Amino acid sequence: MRQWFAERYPNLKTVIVFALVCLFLPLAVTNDYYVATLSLFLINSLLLASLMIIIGYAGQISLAHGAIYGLGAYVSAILTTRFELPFVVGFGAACLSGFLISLVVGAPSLRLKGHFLAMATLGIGEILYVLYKELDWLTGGVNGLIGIKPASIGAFSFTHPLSYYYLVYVIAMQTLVLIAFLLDGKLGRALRAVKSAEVAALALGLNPSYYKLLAFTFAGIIAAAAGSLYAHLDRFVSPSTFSLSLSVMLLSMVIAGGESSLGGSLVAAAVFSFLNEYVRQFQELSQLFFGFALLLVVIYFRGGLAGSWRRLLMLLNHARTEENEGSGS
Amino acid sequence: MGEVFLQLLLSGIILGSIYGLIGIGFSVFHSSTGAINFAQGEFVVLGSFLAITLASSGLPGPAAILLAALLLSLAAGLVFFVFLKKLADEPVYLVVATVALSLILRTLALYFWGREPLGLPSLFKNKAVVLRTVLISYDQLIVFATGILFYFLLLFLFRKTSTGKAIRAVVEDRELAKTSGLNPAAYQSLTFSLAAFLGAAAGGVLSPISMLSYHSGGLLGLKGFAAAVISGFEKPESAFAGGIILGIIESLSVFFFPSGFKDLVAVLVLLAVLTFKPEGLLMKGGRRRV
Repeated sequence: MRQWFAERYPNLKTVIVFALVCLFLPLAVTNDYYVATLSLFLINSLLLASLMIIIGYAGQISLAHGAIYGLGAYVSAILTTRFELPFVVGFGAACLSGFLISLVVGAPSLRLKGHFLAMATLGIGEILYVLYKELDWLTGGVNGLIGIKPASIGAFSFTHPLSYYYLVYVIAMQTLVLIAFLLDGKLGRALRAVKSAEVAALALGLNPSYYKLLAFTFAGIIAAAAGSLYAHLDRFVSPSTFSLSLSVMLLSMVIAGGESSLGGSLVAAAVFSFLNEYVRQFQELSQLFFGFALLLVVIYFRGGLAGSWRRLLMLLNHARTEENEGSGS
Repeated sequence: MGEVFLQLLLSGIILGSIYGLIGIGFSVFHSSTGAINFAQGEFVVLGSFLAITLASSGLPGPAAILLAALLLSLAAGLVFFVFLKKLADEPVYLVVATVALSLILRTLALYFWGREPLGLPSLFKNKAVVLRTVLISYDQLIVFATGILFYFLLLFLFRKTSTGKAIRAVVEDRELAKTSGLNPAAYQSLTFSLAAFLGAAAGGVLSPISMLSYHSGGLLGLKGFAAAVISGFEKPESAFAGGIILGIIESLSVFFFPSGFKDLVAVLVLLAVLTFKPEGLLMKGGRRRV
């Protein structure tokens, strides 16, 4: 039974393990700052898992993931702070904005063969970045938007970091379970078919551009949702957080984790959150690290962490069978 | 009104030559690998910065620009041949690698040249010609002339020389080219090096008329790419025309948009072309669809 489950729902199994670990993580830290860092880690795991779908399952490169994350953050922040709407409305509107922007960028460029999406996403990232900076009456301009209200549902306000952690936890885990279900099911298989043999998939009646667009918009919604969660965590948003560098760093972490592995992305999210805390002191120079990491993984360690892990398991298995055979004879 | 229009039209054509040169770089590399080079904009910035450094060490301006472009194209060709050619069969990874390269180059530019925008002094002691009431500096003319020069050089390269024909053969059928004794990796390195040269030369001639900062490469690359998309990618040299079109649209857009939003025009044009005429405005043939 356990064996069957692990084989039929490999991604779901990964998410369940992840959820169990994250459930008890805050008990290991004492200080509120670290609890907030852990919330950020869950938000990053949503970002990387959704970008992984675009890269690993749709075979596309998005350089707007950071900007769409920012869109979600700004939409939610503006609606709750400037228009005093409830958090639930802000969160819902953020998701909707992620859906719409992905549709606008993805629909034209995913019909085309080649990597037009990559450039179109770079363009849309640039547009959003300019809008965050220039529309200062709405976004606060380069100085950012301060005093964002804490998330609240009904009369309950998530002001304590620990309570907010568990709000993020519930939303993140529901989303990850949904991702895992979709990837383990028909959709995942269709996407893999489209990615590995586009012409054959076409012959089977699967429309590649439709599936790519589906994956891209789905990921866009999740990124924007993550943005909303981020806005109410830091309670401050500014354009520089959502620059192109963030998108490239996210790309490098997904590739380093293993581009089509959900588990790899989740591990990469942990590494990313930890690294971000550490390399912050080097400011922009830290991007050198992400650039070289991306280059090295792409050239020499294709498959990233997940690929290496699989190879290690295979080696161990191989050694074990040889040992068994050795003792049998 | 007439004078303002003429002034904007001319500055559009001049900036458009820059976008055109960058666009040819995109097109040349795309044609031999099927990949988009995200470091193209960084070549422009580095071409400009390197020329500034060489000029400040006593070299005359034009020589500094040429030497900077040559050095960069040599370095780019080497990097491609040593590290990137293994990825040539998988364009997705090649694209990712150029994204990584662009982040590295941008950060290095920040480290070595700092945060402030930099430019070369005028190559012609600020001399200018007057066309009715509109002033055009020699530096601006040189930008346009460089664009035209490279347009014709590349036209000649692709149509008349055996190297150009070999590049086109590699583009059309890599396996066949291999069996006919061509080395695709060598030609791909050559196009990467050529793309770097074009980008760096564009940066060099742009330097006296417009200061660049370490992060200018993103937008310049995007606009060059838009130029290539407008012209349809099929004939690399025709991206020059795409650049001119984009330059004029962008320049005249100040009649409709506040200038803070000027940079968005290129993106809007790019998305519009991808949506309504993905084969490019200048192409006649069939659609490149899945």
